[in-house]
Amino acid sequence: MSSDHLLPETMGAMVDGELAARDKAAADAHLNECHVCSKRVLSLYQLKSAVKQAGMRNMPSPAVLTRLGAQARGGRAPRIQWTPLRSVLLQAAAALLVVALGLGAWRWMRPSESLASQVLDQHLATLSAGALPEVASSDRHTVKPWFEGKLPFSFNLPEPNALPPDTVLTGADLVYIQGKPVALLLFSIHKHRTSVFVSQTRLLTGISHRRTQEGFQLIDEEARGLDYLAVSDANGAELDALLRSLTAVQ
Amino acid sequence: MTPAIHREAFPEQPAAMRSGSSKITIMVQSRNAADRFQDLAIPLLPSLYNHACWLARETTEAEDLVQETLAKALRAFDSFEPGTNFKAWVFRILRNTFLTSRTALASNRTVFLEDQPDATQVADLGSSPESFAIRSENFAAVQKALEELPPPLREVILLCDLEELKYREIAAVLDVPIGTVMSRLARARQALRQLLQPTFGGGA
Repeated sequence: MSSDHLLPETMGAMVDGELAARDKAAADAHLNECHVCSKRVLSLYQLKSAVKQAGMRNMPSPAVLTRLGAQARGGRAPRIQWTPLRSVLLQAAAALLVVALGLGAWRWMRPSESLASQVLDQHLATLSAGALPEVASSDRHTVKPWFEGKLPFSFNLPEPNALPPDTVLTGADLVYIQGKPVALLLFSIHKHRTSVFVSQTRLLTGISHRRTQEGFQLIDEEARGLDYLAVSDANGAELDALLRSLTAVQ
Repeated sequence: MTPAIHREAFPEQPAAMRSGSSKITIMVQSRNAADRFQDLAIPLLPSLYNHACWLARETTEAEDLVQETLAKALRAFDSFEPGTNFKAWVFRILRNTFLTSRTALASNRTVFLEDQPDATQVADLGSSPESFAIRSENFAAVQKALEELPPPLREVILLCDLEELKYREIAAVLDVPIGTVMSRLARARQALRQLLQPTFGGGA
């Protein structure tokens, strides 16, 4: 590797969010100039994401969790046979413990609740007067190539006539949410400005795939490992139709 | 401590001992410490068990490791500094417990990686992000590559990417300088890419 390029340790620290502000500014400036290092950093983001998901493969069984929970409570977990009554009580306690542990694990693994707020902020920024996207075009052959080399993933855009009625692609931008690059696609639905965020990780927290926040609809769908999150004040059925047209071509 | 807590925690104690003696105070503090330990430790059990499985490579031993780790951590909980990262603290105990286990000793796992630079030399594999088109269906390949990593490299990348510990916390867990954490991580990622190359392709 050329000495002009970023060191592997520097790129790793960048991906891990460990670079000091001054070093990060210098690294960002270098990435703006160096396509090779940009691709390496994007590759590291992807590798980090893959390790995070592949690394959690050994989930303890409910019985193991019960024994470990008992140990965490300061008592030894019995591994002996129980009488029927005690067995029933143990099972009830185990069920409660599993629920408690599940809640604990869920809280531990739950992404930040601020994600939806960050997404909404990004959408509101597109609505402000004078806000111009990096790519102001309704031509998918202009928009899609613009993302090449900027994202660690790729996606397709539908033909204009495959979009729902009175829905037009108006532009695109690259945004960062929680340090990860995310594609921002801009649409107009009956003049309602609509943002669709395309990301490798799910941006809408919780089990539900739709939410209303501060008067805006947030609806997401997953297709081929990518998350498509639409944000708009258009009605939900129209956002559903837009998402369907996007996910249908992936 | 309020008197109500004294009575609730130790209803069987005689009145003379409930009247503010230092012994009772210590016992109540111990009980509260145990509660705090439980609150901190229980959400980490899946994570501790998973990491123990990666270390020991065997589920029964992994469970024993976590049991022993919890017992040690509870005994040493007085030495835990509130405000610091409990996760890093208990992972350090887990690691030290593993290093003194028969499995670790038998595999001579405690040899420092930095003493064997040639053992982890890997080629620069280029930079194409397309070579890592890793999607959910490919996790098995990533897991296999993680299994094949040298244990010290696997350990550092899991602490960083999966457990999301900061470099200084990883340094504390591994008992190495932060610079070593950074260089070890860089080698781990390079080695992982090399192991994944046959699966996902990508140019050198």
